[in-house]
Amino acid sequence: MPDRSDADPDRRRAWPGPHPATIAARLLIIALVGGLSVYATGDPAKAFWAGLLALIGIPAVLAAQHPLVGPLSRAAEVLVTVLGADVIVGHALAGNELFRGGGAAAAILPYLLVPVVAAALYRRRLETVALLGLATALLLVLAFVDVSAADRAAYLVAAFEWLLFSALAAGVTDTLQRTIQDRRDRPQPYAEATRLLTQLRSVARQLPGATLDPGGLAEHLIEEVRPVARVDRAAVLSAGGGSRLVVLAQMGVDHIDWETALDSDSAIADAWTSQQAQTTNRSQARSHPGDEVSALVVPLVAGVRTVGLLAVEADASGAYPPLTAARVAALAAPAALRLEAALLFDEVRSLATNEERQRLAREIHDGVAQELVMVGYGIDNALAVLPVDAKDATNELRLLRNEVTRVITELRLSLFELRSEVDRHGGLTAAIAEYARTVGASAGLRVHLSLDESTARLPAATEAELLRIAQEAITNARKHAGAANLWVTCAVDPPFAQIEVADDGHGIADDRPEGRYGLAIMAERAERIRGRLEITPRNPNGTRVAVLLGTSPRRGTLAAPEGKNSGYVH
Amino acid sequence: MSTSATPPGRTKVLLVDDHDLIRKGLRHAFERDRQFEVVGEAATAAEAVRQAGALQPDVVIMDLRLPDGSGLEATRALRKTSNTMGIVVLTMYAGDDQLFGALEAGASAFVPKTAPADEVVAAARHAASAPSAFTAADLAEAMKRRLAPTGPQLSPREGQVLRLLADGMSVAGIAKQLFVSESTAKTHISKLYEKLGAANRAQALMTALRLGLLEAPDAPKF
Repeated sequence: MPDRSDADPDRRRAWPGPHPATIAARLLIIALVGGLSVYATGDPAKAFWAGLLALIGIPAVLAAQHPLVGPLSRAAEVLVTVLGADVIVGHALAGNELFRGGGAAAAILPYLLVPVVAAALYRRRLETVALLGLATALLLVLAFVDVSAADRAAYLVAAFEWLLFSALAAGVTDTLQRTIQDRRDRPQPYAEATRLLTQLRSVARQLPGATLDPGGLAEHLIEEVRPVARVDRAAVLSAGGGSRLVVLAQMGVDHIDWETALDSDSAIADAWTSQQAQTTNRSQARSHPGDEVSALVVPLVAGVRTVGLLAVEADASGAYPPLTAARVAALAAPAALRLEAALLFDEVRSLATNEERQRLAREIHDGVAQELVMVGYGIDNALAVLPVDAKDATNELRLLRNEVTRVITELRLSLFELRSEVDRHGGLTAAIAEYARTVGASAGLRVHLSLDESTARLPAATEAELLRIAQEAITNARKHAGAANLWVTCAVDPPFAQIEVADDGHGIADDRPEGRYGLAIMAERAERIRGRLEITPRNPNGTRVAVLLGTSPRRGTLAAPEGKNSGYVH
Repeated sequence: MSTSATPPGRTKVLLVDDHDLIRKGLRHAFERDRQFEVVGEAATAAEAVRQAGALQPDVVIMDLRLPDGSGLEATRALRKTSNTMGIVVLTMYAGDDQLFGALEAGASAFVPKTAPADEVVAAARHAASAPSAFTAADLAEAMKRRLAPTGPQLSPREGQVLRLLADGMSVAGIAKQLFVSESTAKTHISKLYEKLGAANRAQALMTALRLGLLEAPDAPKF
């Protein structure tokens, strides 16, 4: 990022006040050139030049950062130094050991270092070069205009030497400055991470629901774009698994089948790989009839990474001229960073949750579960050695063994629930189906599955929450309903999803606190993914739990296919 | 754990589980049965493989989760060295994956840890007599479950559309029959094609027939 130093006001002010090194250097060199000037000419009056330099030095020190006074005073220093050199050469004592003729210029030219190094110290490269150029030009002109031919060679040598010294000193100063600045700029990994996380925490706390929600941010972006450009359909997509995108939010009259494959020949795929906004007259929805249309796809780029895409479409040609496209892109740029933060937050959270679930599963497996198995084998052994006539004791132990077996079975299913993940089963509906089958088999429930999953995927965090809701609903049906049949219906067509779990048990009673607890957790999970949880009695008996995603309450529920209750397949 | 005292004719058993009290409980169960003799115990997968090599047991009772690795790996290793050794896999984990994992690793029997000790002994008896014939309480049901969801899953509405397509009905006809708009019918059809991996009606019908989603025209209806 080459222009960062300009963007950050703290970095532009390299030094807030007069640099102490410049003051010390000035005083020292003024004393030096004053002494040398007097020595070279034998005339105390020639200390006048050093006095003059000290005088100009005052604004050069005090207003060094001033955009006008700083450079002007430094240019004046160069001017006075060069003129002083010319005068001193003219009045140089003949026969001086140190300064012969033109060489007397070396008495005052060391002062050239001061303005040149000062300019470099304040990171004004252009001015440094300009000052050196000015000095070179003046010295050359004076050499041929004013200095006698006899002194010229020595004068030029001295001038060349000190110009070279000054240039070198400026170069070294500049390099040093940059190294120090780099070190100051380089982020301290932990400090930086802490700062970012703290920021994230405070941002997350201010948001409704105390979380960063990619779906909400995506919807917000679409709302922002609508006043700027004509939008008949829009979607925000982000990276899913493999080379596919997932729809985070969308807007349109009906269900839209967005192009989500990144290996396809579409504006969406082009925008993703090129990181450039694309306009086309072809719809990015696969189900579009192909009438007149214009589409604009803007990549959401955070740093160097494409985190998502904004696709907007209008049913008219030429709806997105370059000016409009630029305005949409300007809205998308800040949204990209927000979206990236939300996606990262989601990822970190699901990583942490998953790790905790796995840890819990290990702990239960290795701890209490094994101990209960041991108790069970103990009872089996006790039963085996009981005398045949101890009928009562045998019965008691049998009952106890059945209880122990029931508790171990519960633990096994809890372990199964804790360990199951969407990706392990290769898809959301497959994972739900596997869970329903396993739980149904263990509880003697007849399981009826109706699965309908499109090839597109939901965001991973959403899939995980839907799986947990389905698990909770299935577990409730098994534990509390006393049902014989379990119907699980999944219709997943991103960004829409409907998962329904129904049983023919005795319905939800109000006096069951653990049941209510489960319902509260399901409702919380549904809210987290902006879904809707519906719990209704099933006709004629039982309970129906449904979670709906991607349908707005205004438009009512997903259109249920006719003959739904008879349409289950096994 | 001496082998010298084993009377001839008794089935030698090696117990593998990282919990000593579980091993102890199983040892009692086996010792009550005159057919068995527990010749060794192991708490890790490495120890199990080493002991099995040294003691040459007839049956190994193998826990799936061991501190140094999976019991499935140990099962595979043992099966490589011997075709006649009975291996009973014992697990706390539920799910068909575990069962089929044991089957594929070459186990002779699969018993969940919810089962009483007698069942473990019964499974060991089976494993000793028929080490290469896999048995599990839930095997038939699990097979049925595993075979069920192959191929694409059609929604009820897509099933209807498929049957109407098979009857040779046009898109407009299908839309009329289902009381939906023509574009909705088109969407259903295109999704059906996508699920079946077909580009046109003929391909879709062929695939559906092959997968058993449609009955052949002459087949009796049931």
